[in-house]
Amino acid sequence: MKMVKAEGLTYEYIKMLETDHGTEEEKVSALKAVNLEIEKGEFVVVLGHNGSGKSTFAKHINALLEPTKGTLWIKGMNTKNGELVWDIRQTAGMVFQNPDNQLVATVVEEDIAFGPENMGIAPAEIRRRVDEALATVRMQKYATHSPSKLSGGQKQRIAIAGVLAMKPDCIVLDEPTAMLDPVGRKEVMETIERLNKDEGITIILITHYMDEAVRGDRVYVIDDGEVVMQGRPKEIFSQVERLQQYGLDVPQVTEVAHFLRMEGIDIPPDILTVEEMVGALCQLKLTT
Amino acid sequence: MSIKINHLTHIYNSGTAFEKKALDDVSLEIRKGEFVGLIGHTGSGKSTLIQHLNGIIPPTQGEILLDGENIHKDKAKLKEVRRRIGLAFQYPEYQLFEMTVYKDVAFGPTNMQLPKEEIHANVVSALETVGIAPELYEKSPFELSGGQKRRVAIAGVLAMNPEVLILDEPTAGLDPKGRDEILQAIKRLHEERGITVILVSHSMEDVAKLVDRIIVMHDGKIAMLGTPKEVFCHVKDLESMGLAAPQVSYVFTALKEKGYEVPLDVYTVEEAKKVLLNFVKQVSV
Repeated sequence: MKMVKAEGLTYEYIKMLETDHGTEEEKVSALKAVNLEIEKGEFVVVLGHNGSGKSTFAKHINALLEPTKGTLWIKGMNTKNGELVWDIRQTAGMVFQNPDNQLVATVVEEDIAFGPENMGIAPAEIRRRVDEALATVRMQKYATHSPSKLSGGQKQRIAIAGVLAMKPDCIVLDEPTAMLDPVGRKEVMETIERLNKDEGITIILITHYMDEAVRGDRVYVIDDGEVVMQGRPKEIFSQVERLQQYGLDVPQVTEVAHFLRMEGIDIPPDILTVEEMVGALCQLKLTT
Repeated sequence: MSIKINHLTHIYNSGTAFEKKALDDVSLEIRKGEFVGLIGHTGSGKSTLIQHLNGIIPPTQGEILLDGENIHKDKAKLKEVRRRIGLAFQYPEYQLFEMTVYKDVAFGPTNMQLPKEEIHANVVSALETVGIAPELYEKSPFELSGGQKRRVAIAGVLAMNPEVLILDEPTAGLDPKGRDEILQAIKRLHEERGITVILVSHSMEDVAKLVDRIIVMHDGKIAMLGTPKEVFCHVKDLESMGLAAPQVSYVFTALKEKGYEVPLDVYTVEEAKKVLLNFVKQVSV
């Protein structure tokens, strides 16, 4: 069974416009017949500029929004079925951009216990889950600290631990590093990769940072509510001009490699990292 | 206008268990018309430093001189200091509140009790500088995109005609398009108005593209001070302070380690293209 399956997923809403002739209604399509499938254990990245529809998509996975047309299944559960909402939210957890908006308790371990407590889990089991979640995000030392004294990256790891304690199969992260400094970004990205590799949790990462996107198994590009590109990072990022047309960046080394190719240098089109760039340049030096 | 900082120290919660030295004997001079980048990881003291520059918090020790005069000498003049040194906080769009874009930008100059014509001229010129079209003047600021909102908020500071503009993380959380629009607006206002700009950022790529000089803060002290070329060739030192150089810089460091003769002070994509094209075209010996 697919972890996430969307068939013709469409989301429309009515926007009120103030005009000279009073208020007018305008129908806006934030998602237009999106089809996609995400396997269990995959690390999928969703890219798109602001307003492209990627956050609207994320909110559907968590059943925060209901499709206007089409269907979305999370591990076989139809998100339109109101009775399944809690099962869906427990299966697919969500982490948002601003960690300050997601932490509720005054003590780290109480914050992580919040989810399982609401699920009515026995105290001994909650204790076990909290300890395990703290260990997974490497924050055991801070169990009895106040979240307000933590750095942005640490807060975001606590938010992730809070989701982990609910034992999800899938975690959706909506720009989790946008408000963090380079150290915080690194901590959070390492945590996400560990969850995927070691715990087998399906990851759906929404980001603007291309150096994060290259670390996924697969990339979807959303533009104007439609999936316009999908493939492995190497397939996506070798199309430099097309990405720029969708208002996206490519990693700096990819842009430089693309330029060298245009100048007639025989360098691979799918360079994404510093190591690959250096390797390719050394290869060129050896063969000339 | 020049800003001179002499032996500035700031201690938070002095005398309590939470005492923290956020700035430790910082001395610095920023010249008129300079474009300076201020970098450092969270907690390095950079926010504390900029809050001192427009007198929001007073120093524990040391002084800040504006054209040779201590800004705290005459408390009545602090208001004037804050007009001359404009500060756009992080996420400035949260501070938008008026019914229309025009009114929001006019709020500062209106409070300064400028003549009506001058307010209008200031507002229009500020909005032009940040690239907000006249069609948007009568819109609610909340109808705009994230990048547009932020540019309106920056225009609100510009409309008071500051001589120095400090921007705290102006591109945080924006997508690449929004980011490029903001950076272009900042570049334009520096070039057209000739004002001093201090850009606080986590993004080394942004800083590399724009500034004349970089100040690196670490543990409340100035750890490095120099041109981007001088700063970004110290990749290892930057990393030890929890920072990074722009991605292309690492290519040159790695090539050098492999024994190739390459310059280490390349930090922008445009320069990297030129240098690497020459590098691969050169027949190796």
